[in-house]
Amino acid sequence: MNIFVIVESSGNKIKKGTLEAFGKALELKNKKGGSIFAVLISCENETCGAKLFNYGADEVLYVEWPKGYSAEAFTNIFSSIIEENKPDLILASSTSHIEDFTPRLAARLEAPLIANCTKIDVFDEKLYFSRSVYSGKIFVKLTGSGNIPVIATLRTNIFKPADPDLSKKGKINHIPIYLEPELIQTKIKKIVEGAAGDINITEAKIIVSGGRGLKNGENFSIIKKLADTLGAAVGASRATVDAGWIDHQHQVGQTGKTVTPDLYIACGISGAIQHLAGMSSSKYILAINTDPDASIFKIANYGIIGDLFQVIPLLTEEFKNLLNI
Amino acid sequence: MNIAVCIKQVPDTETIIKILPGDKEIETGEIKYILNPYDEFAVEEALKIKEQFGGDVDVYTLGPERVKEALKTCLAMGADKAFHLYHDSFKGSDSHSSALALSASIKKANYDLIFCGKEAIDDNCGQVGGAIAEMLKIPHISLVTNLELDIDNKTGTVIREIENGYEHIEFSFPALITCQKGLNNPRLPSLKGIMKARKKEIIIVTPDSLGLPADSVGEKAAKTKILNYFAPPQRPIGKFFNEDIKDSVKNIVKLLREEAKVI
Repeated sequence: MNIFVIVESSGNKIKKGTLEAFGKALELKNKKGGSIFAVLISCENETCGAKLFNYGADEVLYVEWPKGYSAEAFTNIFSSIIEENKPDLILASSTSHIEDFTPRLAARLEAPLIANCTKIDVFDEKLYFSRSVYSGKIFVKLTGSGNIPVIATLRTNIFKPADPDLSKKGKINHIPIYLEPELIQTKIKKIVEGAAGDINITEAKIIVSGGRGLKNGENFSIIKKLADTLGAAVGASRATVDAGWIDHQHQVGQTGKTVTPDLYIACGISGAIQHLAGMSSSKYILAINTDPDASIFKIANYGIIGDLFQVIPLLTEEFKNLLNI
Repeated sequence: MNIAVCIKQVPDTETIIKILPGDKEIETGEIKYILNPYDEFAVEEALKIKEQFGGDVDVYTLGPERVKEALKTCLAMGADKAFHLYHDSFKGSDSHSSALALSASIKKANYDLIFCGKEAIDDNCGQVGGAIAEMLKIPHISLVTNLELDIDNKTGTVIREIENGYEHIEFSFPALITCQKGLNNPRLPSLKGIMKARKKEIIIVTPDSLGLPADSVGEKAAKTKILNYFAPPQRPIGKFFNEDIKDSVKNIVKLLREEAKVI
């Protein structure tokens, strides 16, 4: 089975989601044989190219593309590389750029695209994919229709990242590309980054999340203090986002993001079905709420029935002691 | 400005989803259906542009008889015409075959912009928008939270959401936009709008009327196959503390460290 891994990098650093994709690719290669091709489109002097062999690439296909990301450019570049190399499976992390252009790519190739997978198995000669639907309320098992390649994007924080093997080396293949300018009708003019140190909730191992129990927007500072102590991301319920207390990027739930951290700390969140849909796959859930009947307690592993304004500062202090901060 | 909006009717967010015995279908008897929340942003944005620049807003959807209600909601909000892709052959469509049929239908008219929601809250695939754009050979931008148009130059600028930040992107018409929460505040249909909607056309579209052979629509043209549904794993019974707060906190931290091993 020949597998493409779509590499996303930032300067010298390979993104965590890409390492998760390599982990899965290596596992499938160990079962079925074949080769892993890492495909990197970048304008940054292939600084992470050599590292890709450490993470399991048998071949690295490097496309020097100075014009930055656009769905049209990436669709054109990938479709030509795929037609040339004919992989069976294409793996990528489910990030905003990947989810942006893979639908175009799948339509171009008439290939199955299975997004945000939580599981990939191979049995006999067939690949089986699982993903959540109804915003996390239930799961579905699927296959591709028989066309190759199958494109699968992987939900972050589910698949184990590949461990680097520093003994592995290889030669990077430079793939020349030329695209007619009129093929690209969108252009990124500016990128605005979020607050420094803000951790993306879909990648975070720990999330501290605030709900209506916070009573006002300023009180998110209590959540932030606990999050900073734990190196965690800040999450939010829909009510707090709608009230303007925090940006929508932090919203967890049916009209926000679905998250799978190791630990989700729900503070002053009652646990409406729409919120649960977004976080019920968390490995461990700690809930803090004054209402012992709050729905969140139905799915929590641990709970404190108490006032978050007392509990959270004490928790923060206790964690600081534990972690020697 | 002539604008097309693709919408989908989905189960209400309150719905508890139950899997029927056999694991191949969802129980639908008690479900209340709504217009997909992300599609509300799409319809609203189209209507705002129509109010500012004139033109028509047409809505398109693919689905069984009941999806007419979602179309009527859009017409009541202010859309001009509705197209209901409705035929037995469309059954079992996945993202790919839905996009094939919708793009074939949309292609028949000339639109400056096409709006979709960023994803449907039933299947969460988020693929149909990008696929339609590819099939129509027009650019697209997804996860848009802000849109400004320069009608004279037929260009626009959007802000789109990425991990921990935003991109500002310029594009030219025609283009397809998928809408993210924060783009606008969707209007509720007014009583006047609901009355006016009764006189607006819902056009039924079949594979024949699109010149599409039977094997290029619905299940026959799907690229993915659902094998079965399954419930998430049962969560263990929780350990709760409601006594002295200081003790409760100490116990929880100990459990997180020693039992859960997440700290």
